[in-house]
Amino acid sequence: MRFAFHGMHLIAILLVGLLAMPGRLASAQVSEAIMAFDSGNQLYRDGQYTEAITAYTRALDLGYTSGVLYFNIGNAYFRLDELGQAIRYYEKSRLLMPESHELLHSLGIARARTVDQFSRVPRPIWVVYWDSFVARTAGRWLFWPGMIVYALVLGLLAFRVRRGSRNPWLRRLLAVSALGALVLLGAAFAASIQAERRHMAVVLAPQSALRDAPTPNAAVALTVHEGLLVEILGNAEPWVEVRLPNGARGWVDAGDLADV
Amino acid sequence: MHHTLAMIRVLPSVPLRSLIAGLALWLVGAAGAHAQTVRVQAFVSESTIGTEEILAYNIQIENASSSDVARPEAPRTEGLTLLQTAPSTQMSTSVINGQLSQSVSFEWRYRPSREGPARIGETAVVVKGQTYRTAPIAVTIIPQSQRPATARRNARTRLIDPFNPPTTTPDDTPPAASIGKDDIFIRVIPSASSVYQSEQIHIEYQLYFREGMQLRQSRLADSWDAEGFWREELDVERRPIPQTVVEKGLRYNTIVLKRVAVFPTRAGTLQIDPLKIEAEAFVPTRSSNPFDQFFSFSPRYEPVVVSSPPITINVEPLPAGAPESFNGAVGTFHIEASVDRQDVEVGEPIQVELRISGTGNIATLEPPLFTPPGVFEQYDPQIRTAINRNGNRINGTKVLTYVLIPRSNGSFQIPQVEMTYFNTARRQYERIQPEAVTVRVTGNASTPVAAMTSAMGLPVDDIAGILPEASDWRPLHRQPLHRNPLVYLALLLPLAGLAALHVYTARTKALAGDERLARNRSAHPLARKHLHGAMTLRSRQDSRGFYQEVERAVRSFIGNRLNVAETGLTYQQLIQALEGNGASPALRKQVLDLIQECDRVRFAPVPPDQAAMNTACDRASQIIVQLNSELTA
Repeated sequence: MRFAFHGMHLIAILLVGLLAMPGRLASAQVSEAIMAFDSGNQLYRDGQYTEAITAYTRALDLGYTSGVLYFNIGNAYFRLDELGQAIRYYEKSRLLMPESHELLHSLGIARARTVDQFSRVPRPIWVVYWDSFVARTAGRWLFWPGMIVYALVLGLLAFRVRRGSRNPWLRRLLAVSALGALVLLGAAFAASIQAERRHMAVVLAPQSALRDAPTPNAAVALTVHEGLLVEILGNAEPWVEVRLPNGARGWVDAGDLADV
Repeated sequence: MHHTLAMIRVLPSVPLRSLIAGLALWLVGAAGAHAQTVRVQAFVSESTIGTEEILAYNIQIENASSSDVARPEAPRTEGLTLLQTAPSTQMSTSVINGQLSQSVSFEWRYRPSREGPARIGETAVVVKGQTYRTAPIAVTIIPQSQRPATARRNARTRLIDPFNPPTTTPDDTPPAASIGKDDIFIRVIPSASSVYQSEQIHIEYQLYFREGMQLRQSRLADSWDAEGFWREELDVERRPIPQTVVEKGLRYNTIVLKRVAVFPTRAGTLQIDPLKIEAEAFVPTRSSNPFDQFFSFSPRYEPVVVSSPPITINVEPLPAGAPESFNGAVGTFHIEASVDRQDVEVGEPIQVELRISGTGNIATLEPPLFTPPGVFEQYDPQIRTAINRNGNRINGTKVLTYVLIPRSNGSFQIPQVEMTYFNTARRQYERIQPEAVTVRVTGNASTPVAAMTSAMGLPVDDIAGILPEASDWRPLHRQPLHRNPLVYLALLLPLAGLAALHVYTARTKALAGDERLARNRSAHPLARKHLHGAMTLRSRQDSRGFYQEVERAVRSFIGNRLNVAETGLTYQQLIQALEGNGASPALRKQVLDLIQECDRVRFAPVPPDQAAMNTACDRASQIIVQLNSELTA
């Protein structure tokens, strides 16, 4: 019994360590970032949008971000009539707070001002939810339930080992929880990998030629305009391969884009 | 305006009254007469005459008085015979736009000597010491029968009997026959025959009619059309004053009938319809007979139809690669912007005026794309177009007035607008931008008007305001889950722990199932422990404690090894146990000796010496090693 207790103790210590590690914020730096954010808000209210952006960027330079921060930066760029940057920051914000009404409203207004109004390839509803989840949490929210179920599996196994119990209910519970842990942790890892691989960008140049191949002489399939959100598929300096919202693919000059 | 003040005929038969009047006016206007340049022109009365007609040849010297001009010699001729060597001289004075001008003209008369082409050679005229030469003039002489009746009528009678008014003859010839195609025609002058699409072409229709011919009731015969063109009429004089020009040796009056600027709306070869006019024309007798002039019979007007040639314009499409901001403007343009005030409160309207001026298709051009910053509410512009039709080209100004209402404070560059036009002179697209003005909006964005917000309280046509609080702070760069080594450690370490637990549990269970095995395994270490304790006591000079530990070491080893309770064993029981488990008799004696020695020393009054204690310890060790090898259990 004493040894089993030691095993559980070790797991508990590890879990606490994991919990503490990613979420820990150095409080002094955060408060500095919040101060920069507040001063940016004040400058925005005074109509000094360029200065407001400088203040907001200071918060980012401190290594912290927030969906609201990105949203306010997008607003400032919108007021400065820099549509591409505005949409870029709105999209960044959307990754962190996809349900915000203010954000969705402003993004809609900004999008309505863009030249390109592509139809969007319809996606199954579960793909939409999954992508939103991936963008927001990168799998972290699945990892913790997964770890809890995993800990349950370990506890049951330890009980079984120590007691040598052959209780069929214990075996069933063990099978179910092991499956649950596998699914949850697998999904968490899949989401994390997908989040890392996902690359979106916004066209910042007033207009940019979408070419069939990564050469300056390649035929221009169509012209895309400022504010268009594209997915980056590949890279061949100085060209990047992109996919438009309507599914069309082509190459554009990397200098015309900025990542989301 | 042009006012003919007087016309003086210096001829023997001229009435004295008009001579005096003319002289007086001539004197009045003489002062400014020398300012303009001298122009010498030669012309004839007809380019085609019958064999029985008289040809008048004129040399007109403009901007010179009779005193300046030496009387020229009659020119050399071919096929014409001079009727009198001394030319008739004519002086005229006129005031044009307040400027007085004089002219002198000389007239010779010729009679054809044969049919066929005739020629009047060049004439040298000396004006103020300078010699001017006129161009030679070709004349065609045809049989009199081919000439119209009126001409024939005027010809011989006047020549033979100048004082007799000509008798009227029955008007049996068609009236139009007396007016030749050289007598009246329309000349069309396009500014270009090959242009770009939307490029301006200026077309002028000039009516030429022989000097002396009078026209009345002239009107456009057909509707003039130019398919494929946008047309802008240019102004012409409502009451045109004919200009006198010499064309192919004949003197004509010209007036501008129509001026129009056309802008081709498509590429290709486009046709512009001829301009056709109908009028009634009167050709006076070309006679110097004063009786004809004073007692002329009622003028006879004849209907004429004159048409200009059609013109063909070759239109090229505009070159490819027009920038986005090209709004169809072709020509030369200029754009300006102004704002009615630069400091406003939130909610107060400002007026932004875009003024596009230039030469070209100003009427048809689209307003440039103007999108003010998002805080501004924008209303449809008011557009005023002013076109100047006086010049040779259509030019004008288009003024677009936008009303903007700021909904938030800030300072803005207004207007950020761009326009591109095609410069026809440089054959390239040119981008123009008005200079932007900084507009400062002060005051607080008031709560949005109810009508302007959606159900969720968000503005209808503007972005939502900034959010004041951020609660979701997070590190900018988070290590992804699958790249965190601690994650893998957290997953694998408990598994390893579980495996270790499994092994350990299995072993403890084995131990619990066999106590002998457990005691056996602990016999040796226990003995070592007691011996170690004994050595410690020896170094402390505690001889009793030492011997007690030595005895315990031996006894506990045996007890554990044989799985018996060692403490309560008598010497006899101990030896029997050893014997039962295969210990040799010598070893049994050694064990008994050591234990008895230990008991003896523990209760002896004198402490043992150091050497005895050393041997006791060594012996105990040897006994344990030997027991370990000899005992079977």
